[in-house]
Amino acid sequence: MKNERRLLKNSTDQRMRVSTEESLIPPQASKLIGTEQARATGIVEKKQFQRWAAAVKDRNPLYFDAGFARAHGYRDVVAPPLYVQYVTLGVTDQATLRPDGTPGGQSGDIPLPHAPRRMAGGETWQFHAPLYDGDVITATRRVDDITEKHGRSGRFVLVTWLAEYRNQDDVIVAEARSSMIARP
Amino acid sequence: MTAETSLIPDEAKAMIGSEAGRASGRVVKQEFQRWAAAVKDRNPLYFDADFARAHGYRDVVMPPMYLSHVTHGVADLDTLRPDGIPGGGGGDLPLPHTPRRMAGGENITWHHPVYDGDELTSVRVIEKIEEKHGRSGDFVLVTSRTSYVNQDGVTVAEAVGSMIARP
Repeated sequence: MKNERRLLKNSTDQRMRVSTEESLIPPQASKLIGTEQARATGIVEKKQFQRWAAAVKDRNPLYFDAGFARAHGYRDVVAPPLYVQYVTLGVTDQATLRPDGTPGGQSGDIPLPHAPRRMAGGETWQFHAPLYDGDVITATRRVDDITEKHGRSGRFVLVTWLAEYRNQDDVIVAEARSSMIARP
Repeated sequence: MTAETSLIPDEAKAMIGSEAGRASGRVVKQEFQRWAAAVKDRNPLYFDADFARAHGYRDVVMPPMYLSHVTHGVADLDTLRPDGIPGGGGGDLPLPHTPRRMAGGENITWHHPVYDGDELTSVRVIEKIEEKHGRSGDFVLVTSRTSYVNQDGVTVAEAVGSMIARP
């Protein structure tokens, strides 16, 4: 509403006014709501999650000291909780990365040609069970919602995903709700 | 050059013939495939199990040059040497008169393929520590032999490498 008023005040021509009122979300994007968009499997490797922990300077002994972890109720060292999202990343060639350096797949696949500029929105995590060396994790990701928003700096599309991570025993180890902002 | 001015202290000489380092690590397929992708070597022997089997291997094989990375562990950024390397490989020899180090060369002989899940142990023995006089001055040349043995006791590769230490 606010947007429209400003456009009229600026005496923008009729053609531009019509184009800004067109939905940023084409039908082929809308029909993805509720569908599974990606599924990937990976193995938890102790050395990899320990390197990750060292890199983010989190030397929590739960990740490094099996005796300490057992004394706290775990059967071995556990993976840092936020590492779960990296377990299922595969092998990517540099030449196939998106121009912003991300491997795509996650946010790049939703057809939003009118909103090509992407940025991360936010993420909310729930951790249900520990991850151990050798666990096989399967991540599934489905589109929860795609909505058009009108912010102070203009229109954008907010995409929300729900991701679920299960281990080899079909136990849900973590769930994440994340969002992506796509701008014209 | 007299013994007093030798660049090689006795405690360094005493290490000739002895084990100077030992490390173990597990071969992880995803890691060596990422390495192969990073060096742009998409050899199907590393990626395609059927292709590898058709060529006499029981599964995809590790890129040979990935060998020395298997036994690297977990290093904190602030424990690295000033030149960014994790130390260990010749950097810890007692050569206080020649603190500047650089790689000399390496000859590697591969004896056996390496597969996902293999447990490799590397054992490094100092073979020679020699003082040399080059055009740009004196330096110490350290030669070491590293054997890589898998979980079945099979020597999969041997590497003879040299390190140059300069005053």
